[in-house]
Amino acid sequence: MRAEERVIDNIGKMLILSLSACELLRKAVLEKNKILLEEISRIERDGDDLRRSTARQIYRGAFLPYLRTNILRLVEDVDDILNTTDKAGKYFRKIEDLGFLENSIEIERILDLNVMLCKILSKNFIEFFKVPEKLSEAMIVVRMLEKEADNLKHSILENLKKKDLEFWDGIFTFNFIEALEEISDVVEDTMDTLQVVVLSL
Amino acid sequence: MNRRLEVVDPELTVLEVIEKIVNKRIRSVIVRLKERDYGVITVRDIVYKCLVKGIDPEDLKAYEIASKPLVTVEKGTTVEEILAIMEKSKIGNVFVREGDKIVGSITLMDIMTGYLIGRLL
Amino acid sequence: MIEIELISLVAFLLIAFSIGSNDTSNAFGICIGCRIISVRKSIIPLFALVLIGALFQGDRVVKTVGYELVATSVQISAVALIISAVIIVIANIRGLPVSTHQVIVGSLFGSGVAFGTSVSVETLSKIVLSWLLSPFISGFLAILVFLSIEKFLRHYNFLQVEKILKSLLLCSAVVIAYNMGANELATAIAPIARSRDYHSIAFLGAISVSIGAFTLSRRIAETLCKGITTLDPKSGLSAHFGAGLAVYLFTILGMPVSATYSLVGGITAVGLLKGVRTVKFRVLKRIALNWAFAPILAFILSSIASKIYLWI
Repeated sequence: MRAEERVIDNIGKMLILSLSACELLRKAVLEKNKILLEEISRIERDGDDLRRSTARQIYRGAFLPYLRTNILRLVEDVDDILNTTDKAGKYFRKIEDLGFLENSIEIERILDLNVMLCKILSKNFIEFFKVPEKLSEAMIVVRMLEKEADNLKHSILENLKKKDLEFWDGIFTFNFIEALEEISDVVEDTMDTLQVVVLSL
Repeated sequence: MNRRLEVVDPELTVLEVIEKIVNKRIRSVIVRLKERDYGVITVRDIVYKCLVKGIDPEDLKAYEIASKPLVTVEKGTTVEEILAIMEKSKIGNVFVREGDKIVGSITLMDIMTGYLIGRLL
Repeated sequence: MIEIELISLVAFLLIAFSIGSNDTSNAFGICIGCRIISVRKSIIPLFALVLIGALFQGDRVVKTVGYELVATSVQISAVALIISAVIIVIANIRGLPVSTHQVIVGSLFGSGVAFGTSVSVETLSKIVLSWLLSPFISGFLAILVFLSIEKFLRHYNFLQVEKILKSLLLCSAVVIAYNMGANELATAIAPIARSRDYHSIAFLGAISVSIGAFTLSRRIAETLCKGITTLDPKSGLSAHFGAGLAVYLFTILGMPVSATYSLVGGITAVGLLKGVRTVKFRVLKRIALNWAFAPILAFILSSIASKIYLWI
């Protein structure tokens, strides 16, 4: 396999990992099963390994120098999806009072959105390099979903304000929700970088 | 389908309804007029029935501008049927009921998003 | 007499060495910078291409410079080559960019005039005209290459484009390396072409070029390459390819022209096409000054040296 193909392949693998991580996070939160979060951390470490080996490939000469900066940024963006998912998981683990989850359709929806975003990205990743039109289409969808996630976050925080929470639980819940929304944000960033890469040739 | 529904009291002022729509970042609220009798307030209602007429939104109650009746479809209705209903009633938002309970809403925007996502997944 | 021939041979080898250490960057510099090929791996094709270039088409430039320009004698060649070598080596040590062609042509003409042999002003004007035209022709060709790859690559996706660009860069490097032999090394061979067997000189020259490239490889990816790599790949490739084609064109015409100046022409033209000022005006001015100064200096020094030689 050529060095470039290996890099693309690795990024694809990282995206599949991020999809698994988001699915696990969804399951862990909805089932209030904190043991599943361990698995997310493990996936995040796998992602780190992949990121390192991909960066090494790029350093050794995959891609024209002109593209390398952006390809590396793409790798880091994808890694950021994993990191943010792990971060959300870690905050969730610290929350003791999970009362805010009671019939919260909105949190479930954000979790669904994140899974959907990762799925869009990982499923079409290779195709995006080949068909730029598909990328533009996906960008519209991703932007729409990200906006929805952002709206949901504000609505959730609005509801959260009304709740009487213990100080640390409040902080962790707040951070958890922020991180949850950040995942969709990072996916959007990844798409932007991907477009820069594809358009740069 | 969007399961986030905001049901408000008919005695709320229009200003409070606006506040809800803005804070929750939603597009419409349901007004419970009587038991099992619902109306809907969208941004459209607020603008046409209140603001344009120069009425102070603090002086107007939610039930006064709510559109009735609520157009609902049974859960499990196909997208094509929903689109036909929307076209016929010239609306962009229908509600989904399960039995006699309203469980969600579908907007034209949702249909478009769903369609685009379907192309990618 | 043997000493003079030996000294001129050493001077020739020094010049070849400097061609290798300075101008390999024009050929394989970008490829090395892009890590398409390593420094070590580039030496063998470099040697082969320079040799093939010198053997196949070097005779045209040799004919112009070594026969038509000045009716060389052993002494004339010796003085010209020694002066050229001195100027080139000093310029290299000081890090000043000079074109070997210009220095050799300048000093050869200088010593020819000083020795009083028949010199052809007509040939000199042709050569100077080529120097003047080469950056523009190279710029024109670069734009042509740019427009055609732009059109051609539209049908390919990102990954394919990347692959094609890399192969084209290598092709372009091959053309320039070939030119190094057929034009640049041939210019250096020209003064001594009459007194020696062309083939063995070309072989020795190619070896010296390779050694030069290998020992001073640190400098390979520097200088102009930077100007090219800051361009996007398509423009950089076009400038590179345009320069390669332009020099090849002049090689066929038997005119000694500098690949470096052609590259500057290519880069500037593509930059202008895309509305980017790729080469700063100050740099262009310095290059132009250098361009005029180097052959004149070589001419003067060589005339003085010849007079001194005759006086002794």
